[in-house]
Amino acid sequence: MSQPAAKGAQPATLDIEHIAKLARLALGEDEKQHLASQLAGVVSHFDELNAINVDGVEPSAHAFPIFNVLREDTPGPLLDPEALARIAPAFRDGQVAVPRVVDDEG
Amino acid sequence: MPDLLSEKTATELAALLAAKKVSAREIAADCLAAVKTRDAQIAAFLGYDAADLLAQADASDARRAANASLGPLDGIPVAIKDNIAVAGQPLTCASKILANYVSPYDATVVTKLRQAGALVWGRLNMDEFAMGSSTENSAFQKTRNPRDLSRVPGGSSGGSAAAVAAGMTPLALGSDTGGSIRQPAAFCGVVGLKPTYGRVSRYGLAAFASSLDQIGPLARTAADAALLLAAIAGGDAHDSTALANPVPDYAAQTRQSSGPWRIAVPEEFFANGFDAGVRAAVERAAAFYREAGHTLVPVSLPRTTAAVAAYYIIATAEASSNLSRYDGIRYGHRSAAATDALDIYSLSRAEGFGDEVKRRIILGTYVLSSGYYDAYYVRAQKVRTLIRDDYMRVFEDADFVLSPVSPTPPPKLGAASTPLETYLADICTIPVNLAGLPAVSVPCGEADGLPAAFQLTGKPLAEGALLAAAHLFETAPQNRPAA
Repeated sequence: MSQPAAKGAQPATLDIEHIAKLARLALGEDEKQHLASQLAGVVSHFDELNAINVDGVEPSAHAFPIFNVLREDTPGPLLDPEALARIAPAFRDGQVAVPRVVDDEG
Repeated sequence: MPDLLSEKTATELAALLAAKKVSAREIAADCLAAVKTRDAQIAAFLGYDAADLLAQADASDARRAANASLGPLDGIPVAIKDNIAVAGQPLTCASKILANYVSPYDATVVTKLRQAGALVWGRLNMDEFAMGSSTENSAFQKTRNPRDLSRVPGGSSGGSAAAVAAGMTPLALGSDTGGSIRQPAAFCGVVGLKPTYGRVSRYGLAAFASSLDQIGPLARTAADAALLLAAIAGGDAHDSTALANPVPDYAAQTRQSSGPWRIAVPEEFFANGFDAGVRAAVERAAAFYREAGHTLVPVSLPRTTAAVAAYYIIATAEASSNLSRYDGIRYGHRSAAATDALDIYSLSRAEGFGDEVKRRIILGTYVLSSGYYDAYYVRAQKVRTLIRDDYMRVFEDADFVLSPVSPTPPPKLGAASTPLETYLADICTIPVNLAGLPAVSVPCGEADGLPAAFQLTGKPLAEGALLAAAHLFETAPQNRPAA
């Protein structure tokens, strides 16, 4: 049985502006338009899944049901801090440097 | 340049090394010579560390001289796809966002290869973050198919397949999320195996879609693939999805298992839209098995078409989540134009990611976004259950499923197609990833002068039987390529 693609009766629409914001991806106007037209076909292909009856079917997160894999909580060496410092875009005083995110008080 | 050692199979090289007829240094030197003369045309390698390779070779030769060889792979070069971590070496995933990244640690497969004495070398080109099926989505270079330089090598492990096919390394590792080992292997005329999900640890593999990704071997023969798989398989405390089941002697199984097998042939993989030459090649393979005394069983896998939609929902959803780590903060590209934290994220990602990666991040973010999650993601996961059930039903009465690897032969470089057309071409390989099953791509001659291949899919953990069936095919005199 066919069902609406998403909540509500609206056909699926791809609000690229909103999705790009969620994805933290700065897109130019051209890029947004290009993506919207390219992805419309893919999204309507996704809607083909609505033709499949999945009533009572359990979703599988991956192919093998493995649960609660535990190991001993033993301390061990971590990654080499110097190797991590080398790959950081900015590094100062043993820490990754980023632009100020909190204003000074007062 | 005739008779470079790098053109021999790993099995032949292991015998030559054991008999002390060649040294690991000579093998490594021939690999480097082959890359020097051939890779200017092929462009399979993003880079390699010659001094490091030769140092590993010398260490291997020293072990052998001291009668302390670590096994059949000791001294055999294994080249590495550029999404698998090797400590101290670059790892870019063929993306600008990781252009300056150097791995701080070894992937588990690399640790295991070192324990087996293999020479771990090279950074092999790929589609950016393994997203693609032609290797044209690399941010750095386009790899050419060694069998026809005007054509793509397939992807995403196109560099791995091309390097093995061009005689530049006897063995390579690739990764397979929706066909990324099997399809380039088919396009370049080499053997490619995607192991059962969990058979090989993913620790140190840059994640694309975690519930589908598997590392696996590309090799010239099934016996070589067995040697490499035996070295990398097994449980791992660093990957809770890695299966702890004992690792069998794959090389022995490859040589010794001989069936008789029941081989399922699903009608959906011989439908219209499949290239006639590809279909004929796969039908020849089926006829070979029938004449060799095995039984062909016609079956149906009705959810095959739906698998493409389910796959691209699940894979893009997981990718959008996995790739959120590339935020310009701790490693990777940071935009020089960014002035605050939010800018760092969105500008660094916009500057660092290529078109296909952006497309998939947008798709994945969309299918996971509020209001759509149940309609797309949860429904796709339910369809995955049905696809797996379909296969398990077929396996009640059959040992393998035989199918094409790709509906078409390798396309020309730059051949235009829409994203949807490109995605639909994965139809033979992605159901296998969704079901978590092992599958091998086996060369079977030519179709219209281009490499042809067939795919055998097996029951969970049936890698040994799959490789045995591939071995049976490739060692039969009538299937050997004319010399």
